[in-house]
Amino acid sequence: MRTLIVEDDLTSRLLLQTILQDYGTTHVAVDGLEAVEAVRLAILSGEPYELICLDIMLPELSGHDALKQIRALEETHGIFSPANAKVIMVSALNDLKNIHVAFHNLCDAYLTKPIAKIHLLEELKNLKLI
Amino acid sequence: MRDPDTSPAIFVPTQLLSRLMGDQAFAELLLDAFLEDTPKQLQRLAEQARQGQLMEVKRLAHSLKGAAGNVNAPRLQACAQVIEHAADSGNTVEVCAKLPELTGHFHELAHAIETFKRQRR
Repeated sequence: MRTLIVEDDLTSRLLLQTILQDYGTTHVAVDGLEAVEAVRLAILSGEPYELICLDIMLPELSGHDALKQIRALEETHGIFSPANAKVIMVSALNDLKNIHVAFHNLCDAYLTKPIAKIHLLEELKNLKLI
Repeated sequence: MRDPDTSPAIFVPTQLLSRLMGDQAFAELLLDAFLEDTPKQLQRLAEQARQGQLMEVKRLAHSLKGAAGNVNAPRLQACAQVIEHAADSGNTVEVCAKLPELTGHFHELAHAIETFKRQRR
């Protein structure tokens, strides 16, 4: 599984990376702009990400806006569901508005921090990634 | 003055280990990264507050709140949340007033983490 972790906080990044590296290659981006660029380059290389773990409150470009741009990029390159990346929003924001916006922008799952390893693994199973 | 009966705990290592499915080495990896990174984040937060950059203060406080939650440090997490909300409300005075408290909570947390690590060895 090719995974992109988009997270500006070191400990949150390390948590996700340590769990997910058992299931394949993990790349990291520390802001929303970097994330969109990483997705674009991965699509162009013919090896798009299968999983993107995306924080919301990020520098440069929010996770919500990054997700919109990522879905638009996929569409431009003819990548549609279910072949597109599974996106799990990972955020400390647990209000209904943010959750609604994330699903409106076509995320696949929403996990609230702090992440428990078992919940992340359950979500990966739900999304048939492991 | 803080009421010791109602203030959140400094550090709850049992919850951290439970979240990591009992993996002690994983917990220590996260704790070491947290101890290394957080002083830099506190410094950035103080700099942005001094410059009145409240949007950036809000984002950094939010990030610190997440990091504190990640290592199950409720007291630091709660203080970071107060600063995040104060920055969101444009309350520079409260942001600046809370920063020394935030640093103090980090120092007591660092001590608790080091004690926890020593006890596990």
